[in-house]
Amino acid sequence: MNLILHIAKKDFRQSWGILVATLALFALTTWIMATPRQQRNMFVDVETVVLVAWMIATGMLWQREPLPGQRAYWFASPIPWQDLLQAKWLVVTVAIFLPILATHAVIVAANGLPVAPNLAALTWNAATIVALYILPVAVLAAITRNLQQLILWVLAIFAGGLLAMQAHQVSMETHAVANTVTNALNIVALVAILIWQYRTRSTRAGRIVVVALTAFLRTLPFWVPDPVWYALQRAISPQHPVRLTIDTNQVRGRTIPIAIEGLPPGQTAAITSFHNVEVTAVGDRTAEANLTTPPRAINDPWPREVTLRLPPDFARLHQSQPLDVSFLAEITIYDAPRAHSAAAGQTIEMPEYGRCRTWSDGYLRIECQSVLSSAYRIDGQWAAKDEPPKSPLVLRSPEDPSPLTARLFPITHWFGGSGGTSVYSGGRVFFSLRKPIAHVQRRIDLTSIRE
Amino acid sequence: MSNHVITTTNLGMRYGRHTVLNGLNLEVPKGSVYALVGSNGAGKTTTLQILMNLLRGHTGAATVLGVDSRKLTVNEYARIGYVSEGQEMPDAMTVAEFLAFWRPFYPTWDNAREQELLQLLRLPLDRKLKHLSRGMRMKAALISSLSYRPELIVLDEPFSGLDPLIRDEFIEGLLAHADESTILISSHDLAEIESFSSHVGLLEDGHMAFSEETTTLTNRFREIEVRAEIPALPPKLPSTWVRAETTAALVRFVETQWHPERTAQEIKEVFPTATDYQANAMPLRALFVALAKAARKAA
Repeated sequence: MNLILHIAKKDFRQSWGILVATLALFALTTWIMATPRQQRNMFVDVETVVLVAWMIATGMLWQREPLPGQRAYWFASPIPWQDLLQAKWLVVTVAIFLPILATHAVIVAANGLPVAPNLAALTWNAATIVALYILPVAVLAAITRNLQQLILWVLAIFAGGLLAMQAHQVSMETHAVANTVTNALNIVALVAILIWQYRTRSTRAGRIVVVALTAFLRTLPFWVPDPVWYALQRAISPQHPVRLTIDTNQVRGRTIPIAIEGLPPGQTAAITSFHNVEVTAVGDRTAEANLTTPPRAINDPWPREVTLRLPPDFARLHQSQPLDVSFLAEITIYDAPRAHSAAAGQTIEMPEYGRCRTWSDGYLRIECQSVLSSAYRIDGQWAAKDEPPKSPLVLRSPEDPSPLTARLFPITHWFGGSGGTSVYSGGRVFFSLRKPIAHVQRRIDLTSIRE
Repeated sequence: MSNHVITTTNLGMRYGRHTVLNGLNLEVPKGSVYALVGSNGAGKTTTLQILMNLLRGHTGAATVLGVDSRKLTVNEYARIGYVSEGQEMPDAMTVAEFLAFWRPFYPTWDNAREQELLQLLRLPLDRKLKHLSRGMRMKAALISSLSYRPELIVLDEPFSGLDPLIRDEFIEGLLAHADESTILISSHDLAEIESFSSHVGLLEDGHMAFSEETTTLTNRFREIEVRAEIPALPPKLPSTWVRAETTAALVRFVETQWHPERTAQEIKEVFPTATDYQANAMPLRALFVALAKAARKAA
């Protein structure tokens, strides 16, 4: 342990400049994220800058004791590779992991949310960020000679990933399990490569393995057939009574309504994505029609129903044929009380945020002129029971006489998009299996009900 | 227990199709200052890197301090000092930080010896390594490798590119504080190592051309000048003579197995008209040049 601390201290002394700069950037990003959305649009790229700064700091840290070649000063010395590796992670923990954790905890606390019960989720969140962004850089730094090489490798891997994504028109969101499996495999493999490289310094083999692993994992969601992912999803997801149904009695003309059924009392649900809709006319003239659902405005509540509309020509040509309907949907289930739904649709004046509108998609959302905020429920308790220090929003529902006090806070996303994690949601975005995926495939005999 | 600190047996190494080491057998006696010499590209650095487990040989085996070189652990490395030409150093560290960093890793680190070496080699403690000249960096590496009294010191071309003054200081520092150590030093500059090496091995075409004590080596080589008027060299000469050539009244050759009586007898037999001969001791450099040229001619 003493040697680990000794190496880590040396690394801190040598890297304090880049580490301090990284921390400063991180603090700036946090501050920007806490400002109203409109004002931060111009700074949105700071997130990327922080990410790049973290990567550079990690690369420099790792390459203080490079592994490739035969000329590094520490070769043929009694530095145990295990101590060296642990020292590097100690620095990452202190300089990157703990600041993320602390910042998120501070934001949570500043917004009136209890930190202690959410500490595990916040820790998981910070660990996820380190595992997904810092670990790969550490591995690449361990198989490259210098920062220039490292940057080239990062860009190559990034470009390779983009190409793989471009080559397949499937939305990654439809593969929650694929993402989970891919990320889990990636992390395990990267840890193994890192340990192996420190143990053996087999740089050439390490590079080959990294390239092969990247190619394998980037394409894994695509070349594994969808039914495998769905089967896996069903196998590991908790049983849930919610299902998607097509009521053939409601099919009229070119429209096919699809609805959520079986929702337990007290819960709400929404179809949060609807993909890969294929309608196949079965018979002498088998033909397929690909459909898309109408675009949804960003702040519109997610629907509980989806209506498919067949293209007019398709419906006309195949009106006497049975149809196979296949689609992929994600249903998000919320356990928010009904009171939220009742509280939705109000327009209220907020001293700091101007005119705000409430709406509900399970969570009570409050959209103001300057900030989009949400009241979240954590562990069955409203986050802010106590009178908040400022800007309390008290909603009273006719169905629920007890007041619900919600604190406003900005929705903070790190690195946006599907890679985003919300500090308030516990950050299980990457490994979340909260969204049951329903892959519905059934045949509808439309011959009798078509006009 | 073997009296050799380093042994290699049929060590082989190749880069692609190019064979660098071809059945190398090397034995470095305990307490010796062993000079591994050879021309550039002869395989000296590769040999040392295999010994330090920085490279893996393709064939054969090597032991260092009685341990298979592929299984060297921190316990053995704590007893070895390794300094290499072109070693990448932690440039951001000062000399003082560099030495302070190493101290905890060596249980036998001797602060007094470190101070002595610092004084002897006159290194500025507060200067960053990246601001030091190449020679000064080598000195810093040497101090960090001698301060814990290693049993074995391995130096890979340590004098390459150093100016004479720094080279002398380096050698002085090495010899003054390596009394208990075995030293293996590779070099292609024979003049540098002749003064202090106790053993010498010539690496040629990936194998050891010879390996013996320096005094024995220099004792058995003589440059012979024979005064004799002969029209041409006889077609058959003793096998121990190399690089024989003749001028008007002088025959010159290198005797590789010098023995006063026997060599005199052979001269008498080959050159009956010889009136006189002179046997001159050879410096290592001249000796190796003669051998290298003879080898090329034979090839």
